[in-house]
Amino acid sequence: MKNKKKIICEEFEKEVFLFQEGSLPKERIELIEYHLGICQYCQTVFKDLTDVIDTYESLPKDDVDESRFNYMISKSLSPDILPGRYVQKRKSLVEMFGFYKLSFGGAAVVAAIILIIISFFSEPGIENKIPYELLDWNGDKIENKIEQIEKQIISLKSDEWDIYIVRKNEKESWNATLKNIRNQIDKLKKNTNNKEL
Amino acid sequence: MSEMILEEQLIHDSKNGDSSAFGKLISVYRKNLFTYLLRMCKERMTAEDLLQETLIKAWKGLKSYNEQQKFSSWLFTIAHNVSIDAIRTRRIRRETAYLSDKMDVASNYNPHSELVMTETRVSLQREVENLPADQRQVFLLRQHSELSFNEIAILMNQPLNTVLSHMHYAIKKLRRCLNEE
Repeated sequence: MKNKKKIICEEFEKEVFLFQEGSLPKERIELIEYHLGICQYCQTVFKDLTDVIDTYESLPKDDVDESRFNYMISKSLSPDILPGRYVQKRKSLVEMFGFYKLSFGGAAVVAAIILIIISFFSEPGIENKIPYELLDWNGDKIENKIEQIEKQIISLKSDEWDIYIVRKNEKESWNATLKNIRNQIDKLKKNTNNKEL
Repeated sequence: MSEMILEEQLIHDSKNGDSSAFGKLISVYRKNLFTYLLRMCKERMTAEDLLQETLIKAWKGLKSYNEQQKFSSWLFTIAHNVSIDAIRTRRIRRETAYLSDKMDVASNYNPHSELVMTETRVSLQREVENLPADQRQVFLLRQHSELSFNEIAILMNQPLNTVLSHMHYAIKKLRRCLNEE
């Protein structure tokens, strides 16, 4: 029984404000009213609340001067007054910056846009500079190809001289391609501050 | 004519562009609105700026006001958002001079009411102003607007239990302040 009472007291502390504003269900209000009649602790909680509120409500309310209030009302109705930064009339750009500043600023913006457009068309991006083989680069593929050719050359019979020449040229061609690509990669790395491609 | 019907009529007329109806409509909430804003931002001149901003937003947004909602709740929602925006953008304590050329600036508090207020009330008011932001917001919204805790929770984008917990701690601190006196 004692525990049940304690639970009601804990719940009352949470609900006291809702009880005071009258937003609790009717049954709950009845239960709390009954409990308040018998529980001294909850009576104190409720009295604390009402004391604070009563004292606060007894404080004189502040007010603005009548003429000032009327002035505020008339200001609020003015069509050129916009909300934000308290009270501010919307100014045109020319009013805000002045004619010369605005012209100079406008010209600077136009020049910047033209420069951006020119640089966009004249200077291709780094990706456009990379040859097609590099974009599709797979070093292992070429190395495997060379290895394969070497194996074929080794397995050639002595009378297959003409095939040997073809394979040897092919191998040299692949080596040249590999060397060329590696050179280009080194060059690109330098141009892009050694970032990984 | 009952107050409710009068308010409905004033809202209707204001929506149709009747500026004097708007003035009358706002006058009802003037003190509560201004006190709320003043206790949120702690400076009279800033509170006046925030009130002006609230009025502008209320007038501009009146057409979108839905009559299903309480007018006071709608108005305090605007005031709350205005004050939070000002706090967030650190406008408070800056640029408070826009009206100084037009109007004489009154002192922070009316000296007569200062005398009338007891020591306890003065310290309670200070304590409210010194509450942590969330606790102060919940307490002031509950006291000055007609918003329920559920509506405050929605406005502050926080769960109801969190809002109730802010209120709980606020009351605890304010109660302690009353006991000290």
